[in-house]
Amino acid sequence: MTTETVQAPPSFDPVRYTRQASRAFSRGRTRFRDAFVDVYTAVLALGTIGALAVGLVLALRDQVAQAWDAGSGRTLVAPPSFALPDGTAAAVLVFAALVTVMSVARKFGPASVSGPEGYWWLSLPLDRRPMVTGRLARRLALVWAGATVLYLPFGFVLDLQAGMAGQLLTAGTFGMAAVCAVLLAAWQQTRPAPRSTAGRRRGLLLGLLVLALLSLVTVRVAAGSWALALSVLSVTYPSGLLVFSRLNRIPGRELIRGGAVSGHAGAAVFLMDLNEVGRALSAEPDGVASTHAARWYARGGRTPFGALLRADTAAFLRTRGLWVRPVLVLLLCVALLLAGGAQPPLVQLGMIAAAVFVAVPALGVVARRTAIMPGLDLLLPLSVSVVKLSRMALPAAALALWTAVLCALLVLLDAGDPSLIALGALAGVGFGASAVRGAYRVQPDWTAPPIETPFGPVPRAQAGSMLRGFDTTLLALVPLLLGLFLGYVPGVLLLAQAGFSVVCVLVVMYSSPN
Amino acid sequence: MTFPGAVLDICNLSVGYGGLPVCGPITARAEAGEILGIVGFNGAGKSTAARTIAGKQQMLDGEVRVHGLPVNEDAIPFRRSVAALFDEDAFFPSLSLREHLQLVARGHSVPDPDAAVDAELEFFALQERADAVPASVSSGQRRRLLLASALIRPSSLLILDEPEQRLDPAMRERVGERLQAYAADGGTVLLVTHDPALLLATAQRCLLIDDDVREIAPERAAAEIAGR
Repeated sequence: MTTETVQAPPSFDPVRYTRQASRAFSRGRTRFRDAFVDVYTAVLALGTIGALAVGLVLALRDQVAQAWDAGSGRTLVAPPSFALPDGTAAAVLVFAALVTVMSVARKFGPASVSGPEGYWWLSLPLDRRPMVTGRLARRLALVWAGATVLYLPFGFVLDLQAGMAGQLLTAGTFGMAAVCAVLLAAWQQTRPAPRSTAGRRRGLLLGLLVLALLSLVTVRVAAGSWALALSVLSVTYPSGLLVFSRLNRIPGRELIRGGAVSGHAGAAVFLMDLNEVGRALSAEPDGVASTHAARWYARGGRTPFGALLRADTAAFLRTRGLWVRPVLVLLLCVALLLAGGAQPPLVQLGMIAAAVFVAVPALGVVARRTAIMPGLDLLLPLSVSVVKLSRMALPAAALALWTAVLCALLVLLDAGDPSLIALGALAGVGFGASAVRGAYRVQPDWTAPPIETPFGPVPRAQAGSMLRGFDTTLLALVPLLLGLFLGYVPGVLLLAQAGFSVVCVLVVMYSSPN
Repeated sequence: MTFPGAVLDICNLSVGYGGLPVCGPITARAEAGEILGIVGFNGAGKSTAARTIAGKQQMLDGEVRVHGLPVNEDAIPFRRSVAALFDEDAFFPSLSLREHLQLVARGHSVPDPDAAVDAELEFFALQERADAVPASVSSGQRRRLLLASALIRPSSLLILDEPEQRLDPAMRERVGERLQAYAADGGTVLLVTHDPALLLATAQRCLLIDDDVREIAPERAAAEIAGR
């Protein structure tokens, strides 16, 4: 069939056709008993998780209240001499969460189609809006529900003054702000890609400005202000209308790209493989390697180890956006320490530890890439432990620098004496090793049975696999947190930190991936 | 340089990734009823060029016009007139082969879609597996389904990227005959291939993508492919 072109727009709805055909297929193969077991399992799992989460949140709320009372008068970082408005720390935290939602949503599309939809639907001479609308609407509903539910525990633990109605209203408003962040990401898709860096920056700044305003409004809602909650809704609703009316402007390849990233990340989440999630989110769309350090790399090394180190260094330097997460986490941590008022030391140490746990995996990106091709490392005339040593060198140096800068900022904020900077640099070496250990984490073996213990069956094989990297991070973190708590660094602590970091390095070099 | 009146008009087209071209600039044209072959070594940039001409990938430079209009895969008239087949293996897991073809036929308002689907299933020897889902058929049968989906719908330009992949020799021959019939009906075909027999059986002209891009006779192109 060639030139029998059709002029009138057909009224065929491919989305409905596919859904009906799929349902007919599933109906013939789904038994009532299987469906009942699936629903029962899901409800039971959600109920159990919910009950555990509520118990944990209430216990944490009590602990935080006690820590706040007991810790009054002593803090690691003293609040600034100038007065900051109430809720500044919460606004900073909400802003960071919304920025994260927007940037992750942009990687997922957020308007997207799956592989089959991209091939079979997008080639049809039909309006593409209905092909994208359903999935985007479902995503927005999920984001609202997820953000609302996730906000509740944080709200209960961190805001001890707000009542139940205020907490629920704030959570719902935060969910709406998260929807707005996703819509901002979708709006970027509907615009032609800016050709200049300045154009891209302008779009980004505009998005950040909107999110900053939404953050300020969200934290004010805790006082029970319905008017402020409605104002967030009044921004979100027209944004949604605008985005949905422009969905047909999104190029097909952009819809397919978003669908590919979503599918990849979704499968990784299903398998609980954090490294694969990282790979999905860091995929470079154009697939072209940077040429940084090309001349230096071309000079080669005198020994196999030197050549490998050179290759790892070049790969590290060529990774785009490597420093974005560590730097943003560092700034967020310092901002929260400054803006949170007179926080108890345990809360501040918890924030610093959280910053470390978020920043460390970001610098294992090269190791994460090489970990999926172990065959290449085996071709080298070097033992696996030496290969790992080379792979650790750059993350260790980078994280030593990062932790030293963090400690230097804390020293500037009167958290301790300058020897903390040396302690931080030493801890950074252990963190670098942990980044590589986490990158070489293998997928949990879900077929392994749980081990019986006095506390009941424990899924040791799975837990051991999933905690790889976090264990050594915690090990390297302990002396650092102790030094920060004391406010000075005795010589023995410096030695202990060096010892712990060396242990982390040796664990990475000589432990098997399984 | 442009070619007024050509179905496909490619002028200094540069294709590649991340701003880096993978081959020299391409200039060519194809009239209605013509089959233009594209050959070259692995990695020469044939598929990238085909994807760019089909609007699936952003061009780095140059111009491509189909029926005098710039390539825009997001425009409905473009999608109505251009059918393309690439090395993709994306199927709805719970739709049968027949339902996949019905989706395309109905989406393109093919008159009497059920009859058209039956005809394609018969041509590509898929009748016996018509109600099976793609995961339960062989990769060659899935390839035939993709070919059928490109041919069941109305179009005036057909872009095929190595259609011979995973097909047995008899089916390759039938595909060649089908392409000739498509061109005889006034359609234009852009055929990227590594199969000298298919190239000789179908193409009237040929582009060789190498260090530079030049037009050569199909016989010479077939000899180049066979001589590798």
